[in-house]
Amino acid sequence: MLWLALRFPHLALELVAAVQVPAGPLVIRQQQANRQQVFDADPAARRLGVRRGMSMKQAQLLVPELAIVDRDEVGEAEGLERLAHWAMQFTSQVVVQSPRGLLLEIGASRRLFGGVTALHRQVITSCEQLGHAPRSAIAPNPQAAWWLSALSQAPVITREWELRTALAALPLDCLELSDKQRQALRRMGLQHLGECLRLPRAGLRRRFGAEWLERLDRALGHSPDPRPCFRPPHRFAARLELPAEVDNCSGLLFGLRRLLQELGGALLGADAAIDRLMLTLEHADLPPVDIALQLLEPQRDPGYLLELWRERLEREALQAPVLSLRLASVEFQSAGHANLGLFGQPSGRAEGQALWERLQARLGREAVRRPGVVADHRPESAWSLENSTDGAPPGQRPLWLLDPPERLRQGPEGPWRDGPLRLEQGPERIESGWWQGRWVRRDYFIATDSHGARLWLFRQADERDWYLHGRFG
Amino acid sequence: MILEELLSSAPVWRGDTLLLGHRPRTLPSGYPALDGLLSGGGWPGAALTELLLDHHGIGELGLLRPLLVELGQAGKPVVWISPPYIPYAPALRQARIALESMRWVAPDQPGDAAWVAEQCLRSGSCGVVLLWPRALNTKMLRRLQLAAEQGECPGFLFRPRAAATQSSPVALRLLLSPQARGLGVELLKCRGRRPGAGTCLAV
Repeated sequence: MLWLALRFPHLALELVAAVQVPAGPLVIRQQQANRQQVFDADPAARRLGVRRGMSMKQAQLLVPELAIVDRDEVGEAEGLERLAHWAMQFTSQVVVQSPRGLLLEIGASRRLFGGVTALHRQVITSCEQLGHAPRSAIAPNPQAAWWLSALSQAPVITREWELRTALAALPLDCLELSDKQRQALRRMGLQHLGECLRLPRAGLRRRFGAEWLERLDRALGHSPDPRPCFRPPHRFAARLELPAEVDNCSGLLFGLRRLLQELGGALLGADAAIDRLMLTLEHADLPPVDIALQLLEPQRDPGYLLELWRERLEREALQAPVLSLRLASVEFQSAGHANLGLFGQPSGRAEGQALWERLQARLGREAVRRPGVVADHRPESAWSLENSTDGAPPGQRPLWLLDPPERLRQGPEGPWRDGPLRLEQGPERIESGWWQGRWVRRDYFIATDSHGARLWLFRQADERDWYLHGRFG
Repeated sequence: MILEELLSSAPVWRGDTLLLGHRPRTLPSGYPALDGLLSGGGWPGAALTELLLDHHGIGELGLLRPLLVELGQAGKPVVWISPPYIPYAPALRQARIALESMRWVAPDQPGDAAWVAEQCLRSGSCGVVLLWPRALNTKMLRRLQLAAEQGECPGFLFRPRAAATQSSPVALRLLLSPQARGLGVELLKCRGRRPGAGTCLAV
């Protein structure tokens, strides 16, 4: 296991900057106990002396032309989830480390991406394309990776025995400690984690609690660290609030590109593609406008999708400035990696199955049917439309039929005939004949016995006894 | 000599090789007179065919009967999309058309019929697609034609004769008319053949 931690210290800021170019130095404002303070400031504002935690009044005194955006915690959580979608293209195990981090298990995918260094670089580059500048670290377990990612020099620890040294050098500020704990450690004259590790465990536990010690053990790799993985839903729906009203197509595409890149990552992660996308433009006081994009073939390349959207949106006249975008996909389709036959012939059978599924998915189960013949003299009753999928093969029938059926012994785990019988197919319910006084309600199974013979068994519905009714010759 | 070189160089496209060099698969129609009329000796196997007729029941299905019998025996699905009436199963069986391979699709939305046809043509798993469209524009026709080429699946469109005046990207267009001795078939458009030729089939 090898974990890559991505820490987005300026997530709120980057989410805002991704969709708008601010007029001046930008700060994120946060309400903290009836005091408005600076939650985060962009580089321009920081150069002018605005600091995190500063009161808004002070910041505005320093920089009168400050652009101010209120902090949106829900938006940040959504943004992080979209990043988790995006990260699925690198690994199947993504852990969302709220509020501002992601943990990626890259041990399994390092070979695919050409080694740890190449993968690391690719993740960071892709991240930068989305407008994020994360701090990162690689370590053999998620806890250590997360702690190390607080450092600015992006440490890469791939071997277990390097881990202790690297962790020992960690300043205490990097650990998730409460203020009280941090003060206590500082008063004890401790600066780095290594000094803590030299202390007796019993004392550490008494002072700082078992929970923190457990976390320390996890970071050192002494105890396992299971994490709940991010499970992407098999459809995509994301909303992007445009910080300013947008009234032209290029502005929309700017925001849309971001959503599409996240969609692309999610599709890659799920090994899926989509052939239909719905974009909803939300206006201030007009009802939202839906624009659908229907593709000929399922696609997942965000660049290609963006081109299609460009074509589509340029035809669309915007009725009013747009406040936010919502992008929704239909159910993901598995990407078409068709197996070819040995001589390159396409495998038509599975393709055919997929076709009927697709038709039924859109039109309903009843829409695709098969004409059939009914034994009746009345012309209008001599035909039927059967469901095309069920009844197509009416269940396998044995060549030898036993009449009357042979009752079988009940074994410890099911029917028994010279040994346990292994059920392979079934049940197939056959229920008929009530009008003739011989009501048959049976569940049929195909089973194999210990000699390798295939048998046709049934069990009366609501009964436990098994009967042998036929043998497949 | 110079002519020879010119002709063998890549940028020159020759009409006959266009047709013969990449000869598309054709399916015998079962009517020798008709096969002789069509280029390649049969229905185009990977393209659309338009059958233009004004009244249902003049023998348009009889024209396709040999094809349906053959495809049914091969187990290839035959898809009927929004047919005007119900394909009557006993009659299909009388005509020795395998019922198991028939698929009847009747979408409620008028726009869905073309979508279904496109999906079926493109999938490459169907034997033939029969479509009775309510309305089709040239764009949709081109899409269907492209799907038929990609999926290498023959498709038949049943349209009114009034559509003959519209241009169409399909490979083959036939005008059907009832005649005293059977079904009159006239070529309206056929790749590689002059239009206007016709025959009368006893279907």
